[in-house]
Amino acid sequence: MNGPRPNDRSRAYQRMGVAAIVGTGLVFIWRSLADLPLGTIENPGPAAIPLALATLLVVFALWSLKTETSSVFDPGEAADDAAAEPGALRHAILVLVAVTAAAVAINPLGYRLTMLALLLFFLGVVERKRILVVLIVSFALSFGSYALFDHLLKVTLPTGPFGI
Amino acid sequence: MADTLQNLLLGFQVVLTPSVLIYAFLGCLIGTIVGVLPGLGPLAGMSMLLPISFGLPPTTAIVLLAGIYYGAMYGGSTTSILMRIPGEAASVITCIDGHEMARQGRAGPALAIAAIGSFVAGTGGVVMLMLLAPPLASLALAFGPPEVFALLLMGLLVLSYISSGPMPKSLTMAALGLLLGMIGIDPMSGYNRFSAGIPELADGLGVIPLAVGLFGVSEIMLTFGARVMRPMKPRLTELVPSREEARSSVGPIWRGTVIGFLIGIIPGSAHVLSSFVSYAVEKRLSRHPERFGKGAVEGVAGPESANNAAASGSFVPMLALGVPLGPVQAILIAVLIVLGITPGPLLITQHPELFWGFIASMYVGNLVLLILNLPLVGLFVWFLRIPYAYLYPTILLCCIVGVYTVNSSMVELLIMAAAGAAGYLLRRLQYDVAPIVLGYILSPMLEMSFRQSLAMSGGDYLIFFHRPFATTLLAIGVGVLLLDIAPSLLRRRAHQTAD
Repeated sequence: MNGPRPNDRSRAYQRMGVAAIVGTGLVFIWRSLADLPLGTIENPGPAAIPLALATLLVVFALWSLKTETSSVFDPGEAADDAAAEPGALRHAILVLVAVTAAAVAINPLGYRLTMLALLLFFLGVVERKRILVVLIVSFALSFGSYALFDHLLKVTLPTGPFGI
Repeated sequence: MADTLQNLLLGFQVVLTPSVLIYAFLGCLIGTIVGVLPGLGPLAGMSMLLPISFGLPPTTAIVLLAGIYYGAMYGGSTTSILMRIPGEAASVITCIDGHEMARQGRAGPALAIAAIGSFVAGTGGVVMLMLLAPPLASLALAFGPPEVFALLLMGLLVLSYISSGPMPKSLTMAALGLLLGMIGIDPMSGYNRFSAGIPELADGLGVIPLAVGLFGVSEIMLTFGARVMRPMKPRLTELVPSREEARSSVGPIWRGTVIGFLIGIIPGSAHVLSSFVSYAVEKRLSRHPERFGKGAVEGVAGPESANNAAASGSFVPMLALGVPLGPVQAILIAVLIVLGITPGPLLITQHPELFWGFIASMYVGNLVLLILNLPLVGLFVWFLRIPYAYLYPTILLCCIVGVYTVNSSMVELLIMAAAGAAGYLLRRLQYDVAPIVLGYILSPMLEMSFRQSLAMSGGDYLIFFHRPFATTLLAIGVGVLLLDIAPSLLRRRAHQTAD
């Protein structure tokens, strides 16, 4: 059985994207009406402009979908790339997970240990570089950048266990 | 004129101090590296270095960031010529004839012509900026909230029209940016809007996490499997153009300077547009248009000059009106605000050292870039040899440290990660994310000017149509919108008539 054709898949991706944007607009409309005073037409309140902008967001998103579907459809190189390179999505997810983990870890672990872990992960686990090079680059970048920012540029960065 | 020269002298006194000169040099160097590395544009480079600028005096901070911007304009041409890979969007057109010259063994002269053209155009652009910005600022003093609102609205509409994607998609992104700018405390009523009980969101999402996420992190997420590049490496002795090449470049460089500066004033990514227009003009004016695409030196000189002059022109609305009509200028305005400087028409009179220091720094920057770009071309080419496997974790580290150092906030790092994910998805779906950042920065100004206008008129919406400047600006915005809508409406009518 054949899977969906690239054109169908691209259209589906575009629709999902528009649905997400419309959803965002609807959430803003809902919260504007639920939490904030609308004011009057002569004197708009704090909800008025967000409400108008969220409505515009929904309208523009639907308009963009309409122009996509009514035009001669370009398969959409971006969406097709994803199919052509299955590793691309994995790479994107890895980057996102690593950045999120670093964000959560930076206060308890400190800057140097967090960055060291991040670099060891990317160079050692993801890119599988030689262990000695991985260690040298990771230590040099994490501790070197700390020295640059903390000592030279006087930008305070968090320290973790044992003052590292 | 005497006043202008006196003020310029003040600017040079500000800039020609060791600390400012060092940062001007650093900005140009980093900008050139950012321009050379494909994918990393001036926006990503500026976003990553924003936090460093917050610890600097305002003039130094602006000189550093502006140096990155026009350094990237210069650097973008190197990869276009040597590898047919544009380091920056404005250098796309240089790939055509620049790389063809390189293939014919004329890489050195192509690089030299690009650098000299960029220098002449950059300097010429600054002269025009210096002469145009002060009178425009005086005119802008007559601007009230209705005019500011109309100008911002027009800017967003023009940006959406000329940005890389279809207009509805760009408008969607601008609306999203404006909406995201509503998060946080409303300055007029004190209500905390859409912050979901997170105290860090009371001040908004923050332009730095948003910009670094949308441009920096998403770029890394998108560039899977980037290869190590093996560019050509011309020697210093090969850089001198022939007499014929030099003669053929003079006209295109001057025309590119004027075209670029004028287009640069248009909101949005005008530097990209200017290089395309310049190429088209040179091809049209050439006695041998068939040489274009086969290594015509005019095809390098014109566009490279135009995109650098456009970089100067794009500062006119920012310096004269205090209104950023492009994402790069929006970031510079954000820096000024963070540093306690109110951008606007009064900037020139209230902070002459900043305005004229900035102008003088552009002269110095252009000279630094000429010196950097010709003898050190080998060094910049070396950056392209760093394996991507080492490059992207380093860039990620810069993104994280850059965002964290602003407020030492974990929440801002999470906002950066979320913006990175959103930027990745949106760019895969071929949305241009630049209008998000511009919309986000303009959002408070737009809302404030709108509500102030209504307060002034006692709730009468016709205030926008009773004032000539505001009406003209709104008419331009609506005209641009119609330019996009009209063709499809006409096509539909033609289809209906045919049926």
